[in-house]
Order: sequence, then structure tokens, then C-alpha cells
Amino acid sequence: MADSKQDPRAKSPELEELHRLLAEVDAAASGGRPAPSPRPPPRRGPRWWLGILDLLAVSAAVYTLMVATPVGGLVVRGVHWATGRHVRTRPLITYFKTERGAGVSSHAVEAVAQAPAADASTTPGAKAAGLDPDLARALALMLSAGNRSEGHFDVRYPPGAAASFAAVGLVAPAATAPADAREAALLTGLGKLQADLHHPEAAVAALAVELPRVRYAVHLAKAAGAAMPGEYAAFREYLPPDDRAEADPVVHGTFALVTAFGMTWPVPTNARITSPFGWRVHPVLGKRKLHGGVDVAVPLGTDVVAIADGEVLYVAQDGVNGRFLKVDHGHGLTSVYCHNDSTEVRRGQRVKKGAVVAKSGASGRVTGPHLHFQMELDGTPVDPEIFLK
Amino acid sequence: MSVLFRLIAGLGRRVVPLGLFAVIAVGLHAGADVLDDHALVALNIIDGQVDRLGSALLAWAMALVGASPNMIERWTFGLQEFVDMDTRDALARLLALGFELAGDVVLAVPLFWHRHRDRPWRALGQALLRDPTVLRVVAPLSALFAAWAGVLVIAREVQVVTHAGLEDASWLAPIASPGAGVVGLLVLALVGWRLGARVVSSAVSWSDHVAERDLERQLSTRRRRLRGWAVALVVFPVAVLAVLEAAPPWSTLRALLAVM
Repeated sequence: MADSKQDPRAKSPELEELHRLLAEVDAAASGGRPAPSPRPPPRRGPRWWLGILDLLAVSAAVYTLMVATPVGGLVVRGVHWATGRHVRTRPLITYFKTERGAGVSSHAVEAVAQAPAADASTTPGAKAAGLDPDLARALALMLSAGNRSEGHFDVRYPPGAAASFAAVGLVAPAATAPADAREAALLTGLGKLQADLHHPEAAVAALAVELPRVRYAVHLAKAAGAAMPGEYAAFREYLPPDDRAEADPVVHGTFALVTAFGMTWPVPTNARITSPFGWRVHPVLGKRKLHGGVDVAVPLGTDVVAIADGEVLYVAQDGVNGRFLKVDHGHGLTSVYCHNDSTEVRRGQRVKKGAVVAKSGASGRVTGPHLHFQMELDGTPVDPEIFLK
Repeated sequence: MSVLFRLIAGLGRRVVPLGLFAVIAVGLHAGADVLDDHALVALNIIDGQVDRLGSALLAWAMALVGASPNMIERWTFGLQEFVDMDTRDALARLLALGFELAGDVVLAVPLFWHRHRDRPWRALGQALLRDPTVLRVVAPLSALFAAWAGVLVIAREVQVVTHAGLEDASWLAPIASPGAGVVGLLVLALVGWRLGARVVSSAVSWSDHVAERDLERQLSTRRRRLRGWAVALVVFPVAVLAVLEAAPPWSTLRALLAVM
């Protein structure tokens, strides 16, 4: 009997027969009542607390999906479309490489082109606050979108500025304050934030989002092993998603302009510009086309240098541009050098401002040796001559 | 109270497929985020070759029919300028977005719908050795890499959002850093255990199910073996990039542990 209970799942015919006989004996001994069948082990249902953990895990995953991926963006658009509500959504491309698709407004670039001499209004304030004048000018341009009032930038403070100012013991001026007061306060605040965060990029980010969040993000970037934790590229991923969206245009726009202001010309500045930036009738096609850069007449073999520090995005060759290369200077600013005789760098190489990247030539579609030099902000070609000092 | 807990738990179990989808989608996005630079290099190479060969062929064909040098110049230029530098930039970004969404369609969506089959690991291993299809090899690996990156990114996002939330509640601000660190680590463990591991086992189960179904449908050996090429071409590279470049495990862990 004991054996039959221990092994109720015995399969061999002999054992089954033995079990049946033993059951009959048991039944006879108990007055005809059938012997209780071996009880199956109690079936354990799924533990409820695991279901709660599942719900928590799924919530975290779906939250990230919604705020940080284009799939989430598509879902939000779909819901808005289905419910007929008109809500502003981010372009899908902004879920990708942050340095593109957000940044310098065309107004700011136009402002640089139209009134470069008047931009000096920020210089005294910058010097007083211990700031780079180019940084002060670029930030004021970005936050004013190039608009001026009585000779000063008409600065509009981003949402995080008030809290960050308060964190360093300052008060952000009201939007109705005079333009000169808003401009001066901006530079004082930036100086204090830079002293607190030890990096201009972190300081500018702290104008767009609250200071403690930037501090924390920089701290995490440092812990993760970033060589320059104060650089926006290093700590950006440690900002909350909404803060990234706030900070991206301010930081990238400002520092793209800073790099552009400080750039060097890729060939000797006395070389003649044979075809400027802008719309023109194409010499081969005979159609109006945007000339996205400037053509500079230079002899074969002239050194072509990087306009600023950066990383070579690619070195390539095609039928139109000949041997050409593109350098990424960060924050959405890139430079392209075309029609070279040879290229002197390889993909991924870090280059310093003024380093030789190519020897000029006449490769590709050309009518004579020249350098086609192109600058792009946010993927949009801009006239490099407006930044030429 | 107990009934309420059980209801919540029931809901939790029902939404697990959504979690599996989310983990894969987040992981693939991390990979797609670094894909466009690689795509741009590939597009440049392809375009350069097409320019060279295409314009030579066009010029030869036009010369054969007696076209003037001017006309040849204009036509070949048109061909070479058809995909210019800016277009290639835009294409590379679109390609990254396309890869990500296609990756979701060929891996995350099937796993969302797949009902997990309990089959012993030994039997699964034997089936793989007996009938190695592309899907059986690549789907679990892609799922592993995507889940790995996805879990790390999810933990990081929750950590920084928790920190911001604790900072906003001023009385909790003093514990914002360690609190967010603890929450980040808990989320890492929780999502890794409840979703990350299931993503991999679901991918194994799904690929096995597909292989068995193909066998039942008596598809040719070649077709059966090649099943899963889309996962191999679209998802696998993105998933590998996600782990190697976008969410390197060691630095992410260091950031999570930093504030403990």
C-alpha cells in the first residue's frame, strides 16, 4: 500500500496490475468502500506578488518607450490623431543624434550676417563675469533669436533659468525688464553657473534646466568614466527626457555659434572667392541652384586646414565633389572640403584647429583647381563668409 | 485588499507582452541612434561607385548614339548630382529610423504576439543542432543584445527621472541622489529579471515554434534554413551596435552605483 502511494504514476503493466489488486484488497478490508485515490500535488497558481513586480517592470519599460523612442512618438501622434486633439509633438528625427535637428535658429544666423559689428554689446559684461566674449555673444544671440532692443539683445530666459539663478543666489529679471538689464543679468548668471559647474557647456545647460539636475547629470557622467563630464555630449543622457528637449537647442545652438565665431579660414585668407554662397545659375546644368558653400581659387597642392577642432566624420570620393571630407565640430556644426587632390586624414580621426586635412586639387566636377568649402549648422548650409573675421 | 492586489497582479501578468515589446524597442533605438554615422559611410562608398561606373556607362552609351560632349557632360552631372551630399545625410538618418522601426516589426511585434511554449532547454538545443535555421541562431542573440541595452537604458531613464522628482519635492531633496541610485539599481534588477530574461526565452521559443511550423508545412530545406534573414540583416546589426556603442554595460553600471 505504501508503495502504491509513493509511486502513483507507475506505467508498467505489471505494476498497474499490482496496484489494482492492492486497491481491491484495500477496498475489501475497508468494507467495500473504494480506497482513496492518490492525491495529486496541489497545483500552485502564479504568485500574486510576481504579477505586481511584472506590472512595475512593464511600467518602467513602457515609460521609457514613450518618452525616449520614435515608437513612443508615433504612438502619441496616433492617439492625438484618433482623438482629434491637436498637440505639438517632437519631430521623429529629434529622438536620434541630438546634435542634429535642434539648434541655431535661422534668425540668429541672419542676425550674425546683418549686424556683426553691433554684437559687441555683450563684451564688457562678459569680461566682468570672466566669460569668453564669443560665448556671451553666442548665448545672447541664441536667447534673443537675433532680436535687439536699444542696442542690446532682447534676451528671453529659458524655463530653468529662474531656478538655477536662485540656486546661485541671483534673481532672474522679469520679462518686462529693460533689455540691457536682462542682457547684463544673463552674463552675471552664466559666470556664476560656470564657476559652480566648472564647464561652460554645463553652465549654459543650467540656464535651460534646473541647476541640481545638471549637477547630478555631470556627476553621473563622471562616475560613468567620461573624460570630460562637463561636456554636454557626456552628461546629456543623464538628464530627464523633457530637460534634454529644453537644453538641446540652447546648448547646441550657442556652442555651434561659439565654434563658428572662433573658426579659422581653411586656406590663406587672401585667396580669391570665385563663387560665393547662395543661389546661382549652375555653370553645367544651366539651372538655378543653391551653392551651399564658397569656391576659393587656390593652386594645386595648397594646404587645406580644419577650421576648428573636430572629428573626421568621413573621407569619401564621388563624381561631383571629387575627393572630399567632412569634419564634425560638435553641436551640429560641420565643415566640408571638396575637390581635393589628396586627403591627409582618416575617418574618426580627431583634428585640431589649423591641422592640415587635405591638399587642394581639381578632382570631381570642376573647371579649374579650387576648394569648395561648405559649413553646415544643423545640416543646413550657411554662408561661411559671415563668420570670417 | 488581497482581492485588489490579485487584480493588480492579474493586470501585471496580462501586460507582460507589452513590456517585452518595450524592452526590445528601447534597446533597438539605442543601437539605431549610432547607426546613422555608419550608414553615411556606407552610402558614401556606394554613391562614389555608382557615380564612377554609372557616369562612365552613360557617357559611353551617349557617345555611341552621337550625343554632343556638352550633352554628355550635363547628363552625367545630373546622374552624379542625383544623390548629393545633403541627400545622403538625410538618407542616413532615415535609414537609421527605418532600421529601428523595421527591427520592431520583425522582432518585437512577433514576440509581443507569441505565446511562450514550455519546452526543455535540452530539447531546444537538440532541435537547434538538428535543424539550425537562421532565425534559431540570430533571434535569441538579437533579443539578448537588444534586451541588454534596453534594460540598461530603462534603468538610467528611471534613475534620472526619479532624481528630478525627488528634487522637486523639496523635503526629499537631501536623499535625491542615493534614492535615485537605489531606484535605478532596483529597476535594473527588476526589468532584467521579469522582462529581459523573458525576452530571450521568448525569442528562443518563437524561433523554435517557427522552425517546427515550417517543418510541418514541408517547406524546402533551403527556405526553412533561410527563415529569419530579415532579423539577421535588420535587427542583429542594430542590436550589436546597441551593446557596443550606445549602452556600454560597464559605464552604465558605474553611473548607477556612483551615488550609493
